[in-house]
Amino acid sequence: MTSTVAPASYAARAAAERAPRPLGRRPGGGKDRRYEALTGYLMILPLFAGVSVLFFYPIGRSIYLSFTKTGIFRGETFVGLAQYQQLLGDSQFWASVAHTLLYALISLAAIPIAVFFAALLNVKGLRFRSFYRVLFFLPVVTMPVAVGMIWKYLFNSDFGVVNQVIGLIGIPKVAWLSQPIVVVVAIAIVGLWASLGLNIILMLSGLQTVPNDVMEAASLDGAGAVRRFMSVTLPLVTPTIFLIAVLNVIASLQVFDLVLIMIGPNSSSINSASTIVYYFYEVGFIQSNRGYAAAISVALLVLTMVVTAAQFRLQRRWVNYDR
Amino acid sequence: MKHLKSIGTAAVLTAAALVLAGCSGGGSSGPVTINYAIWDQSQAPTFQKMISVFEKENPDIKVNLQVTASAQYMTKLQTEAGNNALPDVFWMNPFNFPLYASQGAIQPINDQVKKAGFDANAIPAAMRDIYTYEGKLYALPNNRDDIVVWYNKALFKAAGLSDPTAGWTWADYQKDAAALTDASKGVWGTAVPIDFRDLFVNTVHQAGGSILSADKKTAQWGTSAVQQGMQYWADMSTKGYSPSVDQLSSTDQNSLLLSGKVAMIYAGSWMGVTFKNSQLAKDGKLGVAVLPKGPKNDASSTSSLGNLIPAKAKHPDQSYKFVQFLGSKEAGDIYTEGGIAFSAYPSADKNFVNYFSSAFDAQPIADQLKNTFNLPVSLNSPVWQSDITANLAPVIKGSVSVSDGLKKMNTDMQGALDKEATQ
Repeated sequence: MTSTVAPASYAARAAAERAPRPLGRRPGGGKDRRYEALTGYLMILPLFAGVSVLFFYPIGRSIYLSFTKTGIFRGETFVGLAQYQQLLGDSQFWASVAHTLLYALISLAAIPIAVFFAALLNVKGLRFRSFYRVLFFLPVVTMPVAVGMIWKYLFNSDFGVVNQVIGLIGIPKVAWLSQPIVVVVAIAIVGLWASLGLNIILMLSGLQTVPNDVMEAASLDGAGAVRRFMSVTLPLVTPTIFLIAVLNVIASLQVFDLVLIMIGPNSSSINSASTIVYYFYEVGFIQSNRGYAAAISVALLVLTMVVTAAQFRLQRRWVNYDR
Repeated sequence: MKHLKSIGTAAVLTAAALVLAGCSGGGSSGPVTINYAIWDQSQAPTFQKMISVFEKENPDIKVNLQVTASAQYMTKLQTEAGNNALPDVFWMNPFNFPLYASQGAIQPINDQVKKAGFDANAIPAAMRDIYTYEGKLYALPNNRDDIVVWYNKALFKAAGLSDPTAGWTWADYQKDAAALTDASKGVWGTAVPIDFRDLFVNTVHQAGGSILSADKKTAQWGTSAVQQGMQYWADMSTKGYSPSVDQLSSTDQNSLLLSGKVAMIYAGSWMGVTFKNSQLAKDGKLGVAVLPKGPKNDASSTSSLGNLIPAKAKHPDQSYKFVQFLGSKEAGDIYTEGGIAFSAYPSADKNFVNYFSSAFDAQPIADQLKNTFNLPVSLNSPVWQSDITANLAPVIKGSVSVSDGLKKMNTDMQGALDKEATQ
């Protein structure tokens, strides 16, 4: 019935859409298809307009600015690749890249930690399960600024709780927030902690997709708990592990708020903690050099694409999509 | 079709009428509201007081105070300057002023000062110099600060030392710092944070040097006077009279002074308001002294805020009226009563001292004010200032020699200055 009626009005058409229709090519002449296409474009217009103004234009503008030398407040002159040339020889930039990559590397520790906690939370008959889930998820919905402030106090070298605790087991005081490399590790620990809840939730949903019949079959074949986990569960959740790896690495490449809050521009250790986005902020907003800052942001875009592409290439070797 | 056209014409005419009405509204009829941007919430009540006095005197002008956190203030202002959206009147500091003046983002006020018959010369020349660019005056600075020594009287007494007095020297300071340091009790004689304004710039000047040449084109960190000024701090830090640089980066020197862990520090007059409410001050144990004398002099750096008007002001006359009021003795009196800073008018200094009389004797802060110098400022100072911490922390830690650290600092600052020249 519905398939033979050419919709006369939008309301009639909407009613027609709700009714089931046979698969295959849609009926109607070219006029109808053009009408359909137009409706489609009209419907994505609001979103497209928003995305254009808020994303496409800024991205295009940033790329353009990266080829210019900018005035303090406004105006720019085209200088070609000069900003990128300077970037290649900028030791502070490369140090920021190294700190960012180190941070991203440490953030991958989220995977075993998330697997561990998710497996524990997935144990049958666990009491207060929802309570634990809320507990682990709380840091995710806490403001990064508050997280940074609290951890800054916890990491205080003289009066911080962290040093007090490790002091109990005889480890000497560590200058968490001022020693090169250690400072990046400290910030990465906070980042790990803050995003743990999200990773656990992802991992939990991954674990719940493991079919019971496969597990049962493995038990019948005589596989113990450890063997079942290593040979059945783990291969089946590799897509989730891959998702967590990609999301965490992309987020790590953009780390900024924790660096600003925990270290900040006035600290003597900022140069050992500076990440790419932090360096972008320093150049763009403290030194008022917007063209160079744009070049840094484009470099970050390229780096993110390269790293993510590499991850997608490597996944073929270890991610298992068979069920 | 014809019908549509006439509707279009009517719409255009209505829009034009609205625009014209908007313009005349900005003129003389009805009160005009001007936005005033500042970055310090703690000073807002004092400024609100000044604003109400101003509004009473000028019923046709309303002032809307906008406070932006200092960390974001300059970033916001820079964006506003790029889009011709600066507030009608706004705060400025000496380090960022030359950028705004050189880029033509703000307007000089010489003509208006003359026309209004305001006596700008009542403001000390050194203060006006801060906000003068290429011979033109841009602000009527009406607040000033200085750096002094704040100390813990109880620790001095416990170490058997007498309180510092005017005329003391670097050698006295270092001797006291040594005597006050007691590692077993966790007490340090002084603190050496990486702080250009509070510490380094003062001792460099007292050794007879400056980090910037008079023509603002050459960095001078390598000169012997600058080395001497930095050696003073490096010595005290490496001898253990101060908490380590790492410790000071996680706990600031002011908290360490108030908690009795550090006996004396160089810190700004603006800390008075915070210190006044401390237990140390309530116990009558907080002391203030002028800076100890270096090889050449015992002057302190001084700084002033400026109230600026954008070049493309929407209400130039009203904005100027407010700026002039803020620069007047009347506003200075209200300002100093709040204990935040001194004003341009020495006769109001006693207000500042009186504000603290119940907590500590602030007279040395007023005495030090008579002996000050302006901060070294180039066209785009924030650039080379961002190199100071990274380059000088190793010097204070003792991991790099003073001369090597300063050589590196000099190279970085010279690079920044050379870039300024092309901007």
